[in-house]
Amino acid sequence: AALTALHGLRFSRLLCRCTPIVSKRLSTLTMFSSPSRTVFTMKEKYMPQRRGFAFTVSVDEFNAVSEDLFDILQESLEDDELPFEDMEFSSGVLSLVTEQGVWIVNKHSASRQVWLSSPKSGPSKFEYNKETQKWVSEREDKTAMHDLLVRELSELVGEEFSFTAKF
Amino acid sequence: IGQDEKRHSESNCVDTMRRFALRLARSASPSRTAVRLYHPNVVDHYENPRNVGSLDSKSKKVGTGLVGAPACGDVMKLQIEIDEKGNIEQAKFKTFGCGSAIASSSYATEWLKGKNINEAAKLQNQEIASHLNLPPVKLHCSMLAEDAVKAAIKDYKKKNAKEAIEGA
Repeated sequence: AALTALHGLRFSRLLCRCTPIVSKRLSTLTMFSSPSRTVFTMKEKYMPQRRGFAFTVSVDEFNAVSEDLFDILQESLEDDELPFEDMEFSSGVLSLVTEQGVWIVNKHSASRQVWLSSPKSGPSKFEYNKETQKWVSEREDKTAMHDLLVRELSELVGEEFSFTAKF
Repeated sequence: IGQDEKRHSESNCVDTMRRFALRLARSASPSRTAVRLYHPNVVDHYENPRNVGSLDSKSKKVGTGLVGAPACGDVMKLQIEIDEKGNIEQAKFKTFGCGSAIASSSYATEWLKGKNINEAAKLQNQEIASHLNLPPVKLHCSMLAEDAVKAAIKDYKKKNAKEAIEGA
């Protein structure tokens, strides 16, 4: 056992000599620098900012309500008569390709939010409010996701757009 | 930023989105995978990092904004040092995240330098996104950079408000 330990030590020293950028403690890489660039790793002490009520829903609840949400979105946008170039939903990401830009709605489990990227209003993050059963923005104005999307899609389509259900 | 400038940057954004959308639509065939390259501006910020580092967070002249979380994929720390006149002397950043996040925060520090603190609060994510030609999925990075700037300004004001109360 002592022999293998010695071998291990020699090997790690050899490695250090050959590759000077690898830190001495091979098991925990904390900071290393190359001549041109310094890279650092962050400690996992920063939790997602819990200023909203994203974390008032449990993981299971979040999965359930976000599934419902994407079902509604898919159903409403699947209509062939709508002037979209493409509508695709795969692995939790819904992308709507239109002449006026691309809308992307994706589920973000780490922060228990649903993220929207809109060519009109830019990026927004929505959380599920259990009391009102609505998806609202994490920002102070608490915009409702449903209202925002209805407004933008109506403008895009040219007439009043409505989803198959409220969310 | 004035209304006109905002509209201009928005229309740039729309043009980019349109081009991206058309490219995506055209390359939808199963035999060809759509390859989206980083815009040269983004690559430039990654290859030639500028304003990377830290300032003394205890100093009253420095405001620190820390936003994001590793679990979310992006963490940005943005610090600004402000002189007596209220102008931003120095700005430093450290970002953990994708190339677009790094470029967004790097561009934000570049944009901030020399500006007055009141002007700086007007930084919009559209400005960052249009300069870097960010695709739809990466707009969140520019938003995070805007949040980092606002957080840094808020921190600076909080520090100096406290000092004003203590001094009076």
